[in-house]
Amino acid sequence: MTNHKTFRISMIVSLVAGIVGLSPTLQAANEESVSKLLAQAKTQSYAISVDATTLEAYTRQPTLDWSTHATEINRMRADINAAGQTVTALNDAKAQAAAWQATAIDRIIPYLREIATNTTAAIEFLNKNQMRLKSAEYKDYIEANSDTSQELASLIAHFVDYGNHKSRYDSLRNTLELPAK
Amino acid sequence: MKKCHATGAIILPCLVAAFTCLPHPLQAADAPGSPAVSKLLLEAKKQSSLIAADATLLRSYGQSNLDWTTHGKQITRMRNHINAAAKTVTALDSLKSHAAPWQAVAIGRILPYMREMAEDTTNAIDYINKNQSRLSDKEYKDYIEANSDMSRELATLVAQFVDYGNSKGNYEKLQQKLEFPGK
Repeated sequence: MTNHKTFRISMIVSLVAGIVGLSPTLQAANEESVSKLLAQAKTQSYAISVDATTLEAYTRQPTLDWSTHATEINRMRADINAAGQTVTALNDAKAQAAAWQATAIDRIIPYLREIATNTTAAIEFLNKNQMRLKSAEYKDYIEANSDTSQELASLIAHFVDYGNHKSRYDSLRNTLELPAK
Repeated sequence: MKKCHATGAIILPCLVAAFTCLPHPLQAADAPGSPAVSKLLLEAKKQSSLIAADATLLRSYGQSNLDWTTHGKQITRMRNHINAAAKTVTALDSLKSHAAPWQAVAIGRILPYMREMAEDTTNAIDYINKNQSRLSDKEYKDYIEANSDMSRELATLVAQFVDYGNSKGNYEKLQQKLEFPGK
């Protein structure tokens, strides 16, 4: 039997710092650098959604050991922390961003905050209840995270797509000397 | 020596017909992009790309001592492609009143290129028919080079309009999906 006390999952310290303490400092950044950060957030949110889906699949396999859950949730924590840093950078650059980019940033933050809260709750649950991974409470955290992370990944992908099409559209409109409407 | 009048039939009747019959009272509707026009523009993109490839090949013949029949075959292929494109452009022009403003602009810009290419190709064909042993002359080379430049410009122009339509469509679709205003 696995020793319940040997594996402790650390809290999402940097994530909490990243999300709760979003720096109000405005950094010089143009639309292009915001687009690059959004593209990075797209990759990161996709990784989080894969983590969350994997973890959700684990909840349907009762024979899996808690340490397997822990390894996966640790990976997810690391991915969320990385995304948290990107979103902090995005938020810092918001004043320099285009209107649609600022909208994107505003819409991304609550999702990531919710995923962070749920993941923190799931980690705490796992630390205290390693034998109760079939409980509804744990499953709820995991399922909610899976849904929210997929929504976030899809949202960011749409925004990145939007930015690419907008940029191509604007550039061709200039080349072809067409009016805006 | 080969028979000199073998390509005597290479005249562009339907090409000329297509361009002289174009209707004129053209109004750009303030409608969203017409799918039928977009489809025809896509067709025109493929056809103009073929014409550009034909014209580039023909231009490369101008730097060699190839027989006039080789020129004849290539210019016949090009004529066929121009005729096919002319049909597409005629269809586009007949739909102009149902087109979105940008599509109407596209049609308006494509027409002069097609007309000029048709004219140059007709001149080149006439020249080959009458001067099969003088294909290194400046006059013939001028037709071929002008056609090559023009066809590449047309292919780029049509491709850019198709690309513009796709980007505009995707951009507006995502704008709706993400529920935010146009700016």
